[in-house]
Amino acid sequence: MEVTCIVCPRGCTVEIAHSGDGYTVSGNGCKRGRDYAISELSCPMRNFSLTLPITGGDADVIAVRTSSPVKRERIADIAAAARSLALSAPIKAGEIIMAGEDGEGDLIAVATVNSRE
Amino acid sequence: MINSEHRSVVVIGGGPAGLSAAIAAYDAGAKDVLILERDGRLGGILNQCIHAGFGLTLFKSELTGPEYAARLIDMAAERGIEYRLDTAVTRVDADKTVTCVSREGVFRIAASAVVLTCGCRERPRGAIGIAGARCAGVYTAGTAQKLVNIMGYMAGKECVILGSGDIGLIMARRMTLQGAKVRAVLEIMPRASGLPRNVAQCLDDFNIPLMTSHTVVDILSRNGRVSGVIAAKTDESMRPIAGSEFLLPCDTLLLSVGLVPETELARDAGIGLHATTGGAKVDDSLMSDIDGIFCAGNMLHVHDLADYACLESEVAGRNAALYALKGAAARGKSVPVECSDGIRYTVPMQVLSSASGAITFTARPSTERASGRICVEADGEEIYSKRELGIRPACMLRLTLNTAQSDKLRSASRICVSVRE
Repeated sequence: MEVTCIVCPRGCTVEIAHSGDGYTVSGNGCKRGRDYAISELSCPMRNFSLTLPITGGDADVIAVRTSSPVKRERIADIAAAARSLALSAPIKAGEIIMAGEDGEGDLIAVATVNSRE
Repeated sequence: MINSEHRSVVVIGGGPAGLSAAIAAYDAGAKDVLILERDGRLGGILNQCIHAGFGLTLFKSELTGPEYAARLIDMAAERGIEYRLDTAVTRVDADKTVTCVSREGVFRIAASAVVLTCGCRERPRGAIGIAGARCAGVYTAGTAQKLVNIMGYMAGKECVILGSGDIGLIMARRMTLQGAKVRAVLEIMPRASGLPRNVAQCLDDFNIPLMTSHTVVDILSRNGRVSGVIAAKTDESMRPIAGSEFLLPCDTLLLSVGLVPETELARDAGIGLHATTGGAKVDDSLMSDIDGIFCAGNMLHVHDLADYACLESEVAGRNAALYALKGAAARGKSVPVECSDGIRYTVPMQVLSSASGAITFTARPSTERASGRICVEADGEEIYSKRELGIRPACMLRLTLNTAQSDKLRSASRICVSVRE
């Protein structure tokens, strides 16, 4: 299988195949590329960001991100659940907006939204 | 007009490049450095880039744009660096007088050195000449990014994206995650122009088709809003192929068709511009052809990474401080850098013979290669070489020469950068 590594902007094209108990990996520029390709074969993980409505703040939306990668197949579900949250200011950068499930990343605020003056 | 103030270094633009330049200028001794920013906050375009992916080089962690901006803003605050928000610079004169306008009115600041870090602009619809309705629903990708990420307005429900620049790819994912449908990304060239990882994580992950060698030839409208676009295949010379047209229904067309350095102030100041980059021509101190005016970041040439724009701006900030504090030395002779075989341009474009210190080049490849050696030659002698995998026009190369290698370049009468097998 051919995988475009997303770990850094270089974006190596990594070739990966099962080989016995392990894997043969080529084309990766560093070790992280190998790890990434292996995770792509078993369970692809991703970070992502969203904006969510917020009331009473100096902005109408708050940007949130995953604190660490979540299962790619769960992105749509997490995004839908997050969009139904009722958020109100103030929320500080780094604050947990929605806890992750099964040890996956939380959704955390990317930047602070202060209360409206 | 108020005309009283003097500063050793004035930095124009408070985005990542400007913040980095100001921090470096302060650290090099220019304690009265001042940043002028036309927006209501520092951070520039980073504020609307809420996706992660910034900072692997500079901060060794993967940050979102606002988090990255916050780090730089904190670093500036620790130093007590002054800045003025909601302050637009309208003119920079060759004598380094900076004319600004803010709520207090029009005022002037006399600077010993100026750093231009004005960023870049998106090419709009008018720059690419698409026929069709002049209706609502056509946005540049960056405008849509601001609408969605900062203002909380959905730019549309069903999108087609023209151009596969990074902002377009990022917006394909953003619109999808906010609940819109992205029908396709059309790219007039035979390959994507954004980073490969953005094609993978922004398009492939969401099954959004990337249609290379395709463009938009017509925009349709209903009730004053986009109702669809007519797409067509393009040939090798990027001309639409007659008979290949088809309809893509949509209510929104996003344009991600390139960025150009914001050079309005530079042009008015009389700074010479480079035909390929569209930005200023600079020597290895990042000084333009006007003494004491330095340029860096996307205003100099469009970068694919904020980290690289920041590293470049540190050079400009440091040299601006040295210029301001030590006074102008005679510039002396400079040698132009020639680009051949697989290199479209380099920054700097000239090397100062009389200067000292290590030189870092950034180079933009012109063609795609699985691997190659990036070579720098001085008078025909190879003095630097670095093997790179996956050379592509979308990925800028950084060549960090040491002092000995740089000294050889400074004494050469011919300098050439190329890609070899």
